[in-house]
Amino acid sequence: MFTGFFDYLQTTGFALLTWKMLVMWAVSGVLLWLAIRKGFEPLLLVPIAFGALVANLPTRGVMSSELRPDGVYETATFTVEGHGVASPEIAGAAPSGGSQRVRITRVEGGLYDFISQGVKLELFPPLIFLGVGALTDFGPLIAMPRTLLLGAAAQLGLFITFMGANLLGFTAKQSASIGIIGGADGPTAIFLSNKLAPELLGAVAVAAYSYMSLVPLIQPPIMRLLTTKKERVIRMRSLRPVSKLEKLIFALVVMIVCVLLVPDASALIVMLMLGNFLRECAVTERLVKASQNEIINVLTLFLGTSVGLTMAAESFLAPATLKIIGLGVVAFAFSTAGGVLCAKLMNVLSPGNPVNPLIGSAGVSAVPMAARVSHVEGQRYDKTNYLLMHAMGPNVAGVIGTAVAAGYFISTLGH
Amino acid sequence: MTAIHPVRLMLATLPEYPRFSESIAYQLSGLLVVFVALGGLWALLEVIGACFRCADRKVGTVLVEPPASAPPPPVDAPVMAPLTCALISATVHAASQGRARILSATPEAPPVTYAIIAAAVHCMFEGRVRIVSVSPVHSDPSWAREGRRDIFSSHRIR
Repeated sequence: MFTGFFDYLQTTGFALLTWKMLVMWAVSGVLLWLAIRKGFEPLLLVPIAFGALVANLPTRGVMSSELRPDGVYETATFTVEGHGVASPEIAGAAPSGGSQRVRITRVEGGLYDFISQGVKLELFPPLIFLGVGALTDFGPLIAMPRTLLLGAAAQLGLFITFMGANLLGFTAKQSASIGIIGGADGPTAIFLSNKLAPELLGAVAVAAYSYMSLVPLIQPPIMRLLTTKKERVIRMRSLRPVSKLEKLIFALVVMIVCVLLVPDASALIVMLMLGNFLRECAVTERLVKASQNEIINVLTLFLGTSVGLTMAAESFLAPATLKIIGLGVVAFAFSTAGGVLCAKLMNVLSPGNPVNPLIGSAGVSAVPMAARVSHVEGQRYDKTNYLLMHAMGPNVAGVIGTAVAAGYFISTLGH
Repeated sequence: MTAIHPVRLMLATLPEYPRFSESIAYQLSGLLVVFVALGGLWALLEVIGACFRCADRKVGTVLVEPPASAPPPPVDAPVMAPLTCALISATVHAASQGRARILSATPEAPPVTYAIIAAAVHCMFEGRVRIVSVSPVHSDPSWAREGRRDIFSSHRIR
């Protein structure tokens, strides 16, 4: 009787549990705590944490069993193998004996085998950008286009972290995937990692989204360190009104220029600007509402869980993950500093029309949290100084800047 | 023959583990690309913006700019109902015409209350109306109850 019972236990999931899986359960628990209790990016951290938990359970029918040694799931790849087998029983049909039988091996996966195709085939990040475009008002950027430079300067962290990761032993492709964390743009980080270093996708995505949620904690000390009290109370000129036609032209111009300059970021830029064009043209209300709500919500759910499912213990519990988490902070810090310092430089070059350096930190593209941090930080020193709309300019410029930087990495390393 | 992207051609030799100097050169190139892209967009947007401002001036549009760093309207502020807008417009209209006149009123209410009441009456009766007296209603709680119901129903119950 006991033998039968133990034999049965061997067929259950308990027999497949490892200590690494238990550690990952704890990691999932921490992520869920951050999301639910602390409210850090819950829309993304909850699906990611849940996916990470599922990835470390001995599930059946959720993913395929095709897990490569480096931790990358070969999802829904229908492996078709042709075996030339000399078959004696049908050989008689062909006098020459050259008849061959082909055996086709077909690897079929479970539910997330197919849903994860959105990550693997790089469908989800651009489609999420469609929703982001539909949600974003580029008016503040159009009204004050010089803030594009702040968005560009805030990409400093990406490139500095690239060097740091390289020095820590990562390859050039892996370093680019880690550096993009500094852009504070989750979909772009996933897009780039999946292209250049899919084995780091889980760690990079978790680091990117975790740090995005920690923007209100990471940025203010750096902003205070790099600015004087006098600079923090600078009042900026009010933004001019921007017409609908100007916004439509902006979407087309940005798309054309960026695609021409970095064709490898086309998918992101095109979808971002399509979403924004739909929003601004004001005749596609249903499409805009779908992009702003249903499409982005469904994709966020699928993207989050798919990314979480890449956090299998074998690949995630590695020294490299700790290094990535550490490098992520470095990337964020340098990106914040780059934006603030660029704003200070602009004030030196153009003292007649000053920029409050606090809005420089919004150049990292965590929309709209980074802009809100600039505003709140400004109000600490002058309650009547409203920086929010000014900070939205570099904030949305950061989205474009990160996409351009990702395009640069892909064009130089991804071929 | 397939055209090779200039940036790719320039950096095609970046090894898997680049040396420090190669890494620096790579970063500078990357930053340059980002600055050229966004700087170019800046220049283009300035040109486009100048064209629009010029066109606005030609058609005689006067843009009234708010004072520097004026507080934006609160995001969560409720949108005013058309009747409210009409009342306020009528108030301004009546005040500017000097036709609103309150003969007797309770002293504790602020002047704006009388202006709004006058405007409401003006809207309702569409003509010159003399308001003889204005007094608060203490006995009937219906209006207060209706206001409370309206406020509660405007919030989503979770």
